[in-house]
Amino acid sequence: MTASPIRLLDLAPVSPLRSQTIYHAVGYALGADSPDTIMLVSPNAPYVSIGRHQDAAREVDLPYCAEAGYPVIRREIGGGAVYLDGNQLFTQWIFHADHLPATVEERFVVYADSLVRTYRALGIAAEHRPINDIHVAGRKIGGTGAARMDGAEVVVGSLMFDFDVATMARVLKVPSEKFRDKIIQSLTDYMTTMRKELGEPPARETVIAAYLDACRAVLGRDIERGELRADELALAEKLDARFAGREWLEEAGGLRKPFVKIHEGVRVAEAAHKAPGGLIRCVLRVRDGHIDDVAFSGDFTARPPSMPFDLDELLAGSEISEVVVSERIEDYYRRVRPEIPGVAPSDWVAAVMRAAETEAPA
Amino acid sequence: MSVYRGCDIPGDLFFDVDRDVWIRPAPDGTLTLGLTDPAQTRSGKVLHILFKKPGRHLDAGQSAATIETAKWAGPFPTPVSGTIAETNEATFRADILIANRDPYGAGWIVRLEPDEWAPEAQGLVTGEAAVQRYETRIDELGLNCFRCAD
Repeated sequence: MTASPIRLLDLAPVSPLRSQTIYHAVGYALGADSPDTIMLVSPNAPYVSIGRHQDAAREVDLPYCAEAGYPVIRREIGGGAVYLDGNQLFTQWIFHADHLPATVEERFVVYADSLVRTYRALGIAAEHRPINDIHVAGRKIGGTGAARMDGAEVVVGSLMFDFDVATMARVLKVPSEKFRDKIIQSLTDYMTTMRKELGEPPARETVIAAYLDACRAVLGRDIERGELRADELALAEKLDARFAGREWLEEAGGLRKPFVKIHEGVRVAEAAHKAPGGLIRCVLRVRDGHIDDVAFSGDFTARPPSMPFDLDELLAGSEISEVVVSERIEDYYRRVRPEIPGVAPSDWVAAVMRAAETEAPA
Repeated sequence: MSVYRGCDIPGDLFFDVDRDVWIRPAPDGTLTLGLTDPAQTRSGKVLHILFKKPGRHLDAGQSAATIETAKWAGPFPTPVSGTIAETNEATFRADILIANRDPYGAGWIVRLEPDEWAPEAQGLVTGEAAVQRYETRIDELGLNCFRCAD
């Protein structure tokens, strides 16, 4: 660790592209004599940021984004696609690797503490939910991530003044509109912002002052206002060209993960199961190992017609267990005796379990 | 195999301690490279890995693959220059956590045809020297290793 002051770069709003390239540039330009840096920046227009190994065409509705004028920009930080705009203040730490804790988890403890203290100073009862979520009464407020850039360890996150849930759900490529509805509902239920918590978000200067106090406290170091160096700006310009290029955006993605993580304990997934009597599509919201919400649809014929909705209700709260889900559905068949040719209880169970298998990595 | 604070440091491998990379030379002159036990502990469970293609020439320090764990992304830098002969992509496709489970065995990352192999000149250490360097490093970092896949 070190006692040297941290440079603060409190930047005016920048273009969407530059809001990503600038912290990569400071990271890659970090030399032995460079200071550790905390950068505060917001984009001056909305855009979509995708994770390091995501496949843009599979995760994002690219035609819609083009039509709406939202650039789609791959970052070197991992994680998922996110819609960003001027209602978030990005809080980026670009530090010498040995000036931060050794493990990623320990790094997030320190980083999350700075955000938690900021929110608390503003009257919001935030807490760190390991590994890297900040929650307010079970709702996530902002996301965080980390990456290595040559000699720099970079940790990024944001202070959430507000968040446009509908546009976030709109920019994602989803398997169905029902799935998109579930995303909107889930983001509404499980995300929060300063506006939601306080009615009106505080002034940017107030939030920044609270944040810098929090950073001084958790890092035990002075923070001094500074400027970008010429070499950092020159590198940002080079990275602008690379990050705006098709080759970088279209770089092959990693594994397909057919789910959307809302926060550490909540995800939405969809799966389909072909039963003899028709296709059962299941949109599932899982919360801490239980079915938080489920919606069935498909091309089957059921009597009573309310059957898919009845099953939605009776499975809510159920443990994600083939045995437990089977018991509930078989009990429904015994009680209601539905007429649904070619669809057995085991078919509903198969649809649920297939959706549940799209497990988010810990 | 030396174990210090839970971290395995095999004495028969060469290490770039700063980059946290191990190297195993083969009789045919190629080098197998992988993440060390401290490296997989520090980065956490691997979620994605994107390999540079075989045939690609890399300078020392360049990335042979990018690794994304659940909460972090970063390069896998080669300590020596050379040409990628083979990647372990097929194994990672079957088990993405293989480098967390078996960092010195099945979880290797790439095989390299080096431009030259001069481990001392290339800043690599092995045997007791490697163990001592790692013990110091592990103490500095306050690290305790664990297999992230468990």
